[in-house]
Amino acid sequence: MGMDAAQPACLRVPAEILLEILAFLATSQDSLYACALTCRQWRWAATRALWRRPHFRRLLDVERLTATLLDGPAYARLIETLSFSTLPEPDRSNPHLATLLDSIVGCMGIAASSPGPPPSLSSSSPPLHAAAAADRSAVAASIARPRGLWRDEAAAARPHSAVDLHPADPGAACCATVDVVAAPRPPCGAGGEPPHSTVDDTQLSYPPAAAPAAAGQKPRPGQRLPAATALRQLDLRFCKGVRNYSLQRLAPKLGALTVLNLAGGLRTDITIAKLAQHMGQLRRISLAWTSNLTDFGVAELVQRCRAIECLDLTYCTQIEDTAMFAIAHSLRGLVALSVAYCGGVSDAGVAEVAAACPALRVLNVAKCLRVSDRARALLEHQRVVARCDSLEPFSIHSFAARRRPRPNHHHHDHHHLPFAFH
Amino acid sequence: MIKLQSSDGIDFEVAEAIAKQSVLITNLLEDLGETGEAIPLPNVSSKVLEKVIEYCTQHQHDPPLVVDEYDDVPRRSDDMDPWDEAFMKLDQDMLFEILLAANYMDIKPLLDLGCKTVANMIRGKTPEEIRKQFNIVNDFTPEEEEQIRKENEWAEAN
Repeated sequence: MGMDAAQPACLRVPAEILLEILAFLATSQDSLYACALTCRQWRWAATRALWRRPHFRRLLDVERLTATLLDGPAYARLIETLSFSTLPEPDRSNPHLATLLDSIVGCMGIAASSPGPPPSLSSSSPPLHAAAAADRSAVAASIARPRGLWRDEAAAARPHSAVDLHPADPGAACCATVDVVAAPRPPCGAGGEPPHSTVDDTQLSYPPAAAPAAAGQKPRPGQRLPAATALRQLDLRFCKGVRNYSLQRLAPKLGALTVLNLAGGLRTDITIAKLAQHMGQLRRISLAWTSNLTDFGVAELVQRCRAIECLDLTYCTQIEDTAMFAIAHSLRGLVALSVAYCGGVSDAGVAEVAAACPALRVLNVAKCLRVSDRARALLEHQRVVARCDSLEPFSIHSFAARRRPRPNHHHHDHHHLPFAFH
Repeated sequence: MIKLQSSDGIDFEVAEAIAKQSVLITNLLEDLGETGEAIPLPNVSSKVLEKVIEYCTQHQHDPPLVVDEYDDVPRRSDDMDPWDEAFMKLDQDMLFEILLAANYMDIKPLLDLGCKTVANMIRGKTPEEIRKQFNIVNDFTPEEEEQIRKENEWAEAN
């Protein structure tokens, strides 16, 4: 990190600190956008902060982001979380949303399959210009906009891991791999040199002052490359525009998901079963307000996705104890479960989960009419929170590592939970 | 008491509870044991070290940081403690020096505080205002600037 005393102080801070600073502006997208336009060095960091978790205010934002990716998918590597729950209701119900999601995830597939050396933040290595001709193939066809598509995803280094600062385990980003299929190489500019555009957005350290585009390494033939995108979190809360059919089709590309929110999306058992086949990494999932979901769908989910720690089934009114037994037998690492308003769940199901899941800290049984006070007392005795209220609602997205309430510290006042969910 | 030596050779004697807010020093003490010799901090000048010690003295009784297990919730910068806010009223060079020192000495709360302070200086400003605030020279060509605007158009307000 070139420490030049002549530079202004703010440009002497290393990349990782600038990223830390910008992380505090995550809720202020306008500010990040402004940072990207101040100078090259800040652009590097601001672009990462922006793309890591894009915040969409309307469908047009999603359309524009997709257009950028279709022009050159390098930015796709930076995306870690996609959330459409901030869109207004008409946009969430717009079927076009599904098409856009499909395109974005497709671009992430292209970008993710470009291999690159593991990131190193401090070194000012030449642009990671490598690779990535052969693997542009697969997803290519799915995208209907030829112009500029191949521009410079080659420069892309590694996906989201560029954003967090720990050197990523090369294998960890994606759970699935495929063999590279040789593909017709798309037409490139003279000498295959991409225009300098987004190149420096995919490097892992500040762009070197003068960066001659180095001739990249070619991927070895037969090299195994990640197939799945690096999308870690997907939030489709109340996004009815993304229909079950689209979601099922997308399932194979969602293998790296750790967090999935499908609350209120009218999902079906079959959709959940299809998704579950691909999501071995899943840690947290919400299916709240899924009135179609039955014990069958829950069982399919938990038997496939055994790493689930946090599961929200609030208002899944068809759920009964069979689902609870499946959860108890499959999810040994379960930390938090909500079956609030699930009238079919009874003491037997609650007891089974409480007995089988040693890490359990929350089992939200608010308004479960068949769960007795005795069962609730039993949970509290085990220091498991039995009720989350509107002040501290159950959420798969924020889970503070609070201590369990101390033993002998019984609270009967439900509005004053010693253990909190925000 | 533990002795710390700044890059310009000045020794500071501080209580263990103060020094140990630095993970770097905690680790060094664990590895080396308490030798009584001054721990050299070659990246931190006495001027900066003095401020760092002032911060650590103020916060020596703080409970350990609660880390959200799930990193989904955006970090906030509007929750600064008044003492901290006053402490951070520094000239810009010093502010960034403290950031570097907090990073080097691995004092997470101080690093966060510094980052929040800088974030608040950025918030709500235009690119031109940010450049002015931090003495940044615009090194974009007009074409580059246009391209950044276009590529990130989705993030633009309006």
